[in-house]
Amino acid sequence: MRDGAVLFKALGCTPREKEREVAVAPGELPRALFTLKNMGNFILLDIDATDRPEGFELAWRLLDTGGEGPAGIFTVKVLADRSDPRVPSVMGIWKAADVLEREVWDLMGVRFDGRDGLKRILCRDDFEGHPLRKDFVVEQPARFPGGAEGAGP
Amino acid sequence: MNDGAFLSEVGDFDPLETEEYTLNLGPQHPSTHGVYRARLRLNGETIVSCENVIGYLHRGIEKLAESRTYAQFAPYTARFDYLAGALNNWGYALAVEKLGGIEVPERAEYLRVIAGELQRIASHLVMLASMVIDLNAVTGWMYAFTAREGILDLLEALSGSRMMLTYVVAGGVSADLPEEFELKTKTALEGLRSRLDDFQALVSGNEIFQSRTRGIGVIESGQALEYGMTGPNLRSCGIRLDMRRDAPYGVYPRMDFDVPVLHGGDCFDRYSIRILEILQSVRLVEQALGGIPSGPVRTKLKRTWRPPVGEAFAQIESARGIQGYHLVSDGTDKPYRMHLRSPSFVNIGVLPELAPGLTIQDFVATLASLDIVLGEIDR
Repeated sequence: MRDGAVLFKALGCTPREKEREVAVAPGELPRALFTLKNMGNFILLDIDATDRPEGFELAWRLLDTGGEGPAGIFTVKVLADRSDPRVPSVMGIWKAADVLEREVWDLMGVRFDGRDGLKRILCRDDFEGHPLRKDFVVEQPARFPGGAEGAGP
Repeated sequence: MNDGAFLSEVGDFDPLETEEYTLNLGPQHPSTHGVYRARLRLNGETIVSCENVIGYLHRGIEKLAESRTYAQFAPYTARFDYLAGALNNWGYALAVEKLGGIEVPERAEYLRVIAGELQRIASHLVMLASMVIDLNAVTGWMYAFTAREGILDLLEALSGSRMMLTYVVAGGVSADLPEEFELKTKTALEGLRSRLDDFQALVSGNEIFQSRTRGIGVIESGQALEYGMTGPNLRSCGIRLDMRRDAPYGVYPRMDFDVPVLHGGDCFDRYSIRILEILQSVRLVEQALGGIPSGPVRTKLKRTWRPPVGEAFAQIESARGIQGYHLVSDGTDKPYRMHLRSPSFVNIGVLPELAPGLTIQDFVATLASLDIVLGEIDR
C-alpha cells in the first residue's frame, strides 16, 4: 500500500487526519477514481452506502496493492443529497461498478448517472421503496407476486 | 424418387431459417448451485448473451443487523456463505474488534487459523465435488464429500455445529479445543490426503474431464481485475493476491505457507488451484496445532457492550475471495449500518462478458468453476 499522502497529492487534496480516506464532491468522483486507477495497482472492491441524517454517505473502497508493505484499503467518499441522491457512475472506469452500483440503487435508492441498465438486482422488479433507508417501514404485510396477501399458515 | 432427384430437390430449398431463443438456466436447476438464474439468448446451442438474475435468496440480513446487538448478529454471518461459516464469523469478528479496539488472546488467534483453514478445506471440497458432478462425474462427487465429512466432524467437535457455526466471535473464539482434538485432526487430515489422491487419480487426469475444462471459459488477468474478482478465481489467472499474505491478519505473518498461482485462467486451472490450496490449508492447520500457546481463548465482552461512535471496514481472505465487513456505530449496542462485501456477488459480474460464444455445456462448467454461493450473493 502506498502512503496516503502520495495518493492525496495525486488527487490534489491536502492529507487530513485519517490518511486512508478522502471525501470528494459528487462531480469530482469520476476524475478522482480515474486518477487513482491510472496510478495502477488498485482494485475496486466495494461500493457501499450509509443513510446518515445529513445525506447518503457513499464509499468506494479500493484495494491498494502498490507501494511497499502490506496491501490496504483506500476509501473515496461522497455525500449525496438527501432529497434527490445522485452521483456519477464509474462503470466506465471499473466494470466491477456495474453490479455494485445496481445494489446501492436497489437497496438505498441512490441514482447513478451516465450509465445504462440501472435496475434492481436483489429485490424483485416491482418492489416499492429502498429497504436499507432508515425511513423504510419494515412492518408490512407479506405480499407475494400474483396477489395473495399475507398468504401462508 | 431416386437419391439424386431427392438431393436436387433439397438443394432448391432456401437455407433453413434459424432464430435466437431465450433459455432460463435456473433458478431451479442442479447446475446453478442454488437459486441463481442465467437468462441466456441462444443461437442453436451457442450463447449469444447472458444476464445474471439473482436475489431469490435475499433475506435482508443487512437490514436485520440494524435491529440486533453486535453479539446477537454473529450467528447470522454463517448464513451468508453457508459453505464457509467460520470464515464469515471471522470477518465479522475482525470488524467488530476494529470498531471497538478489542484485543484477542494469542491462543484464540491460533484457534481461528485452525477453524478457518479447516473451513476453507471443507468449502473447496464442495467446489471440487459440485464441479465434477456438473460435468457428470458422479463418482468423484462421493470422494470429495466423504473427505469433507471428516473435516465437518472436526468443526462440529470445535463448535457444536457442522455448518452454521458461530465459532469465531468478537474477542476470540467461543470454546477451547475439545479433548483429543489433535489426534482426531491427525486422523482426519490423513484421510483427507488419501481421499484427495484418489480424487486426483480419478478426475484430474481424466481425458473427458480435461477436454471439458481445458481452455474453456478463459478469464484474462486484466479482465479479472477490471471486474474486481478475488480469491482462487483471480489467482488462477496469474495474479498472486491473497489477504493472508498481502494484508495479513491474526497470526498469518508467523505461518509458513505458499500462495499457489496458476496462469491458464480456464476452468481446469480454477479447479486445480482449489486442490493446491487445500494442501496449503492442511499445512496451516498442522502448524497452528503444533505451535499453539496456552492461555485464555476469549476476551469477555459485557452483554451491553457498546463500541464508540465511528466506523470500521475489515476484510479477510474467505474461501471465495475477499470478504469485507463494514460496520457503522452510533454509540448504541446495535450497529447503525452493516454491509457485507461478498466475493461471489462481484465474481459473477464477469459472466455476461464471458458467456457469449460458449455452448451451454461450457457455460455449466464455467459457472461451476467460479464456485459461487448464493447465500452471500443475495444476502
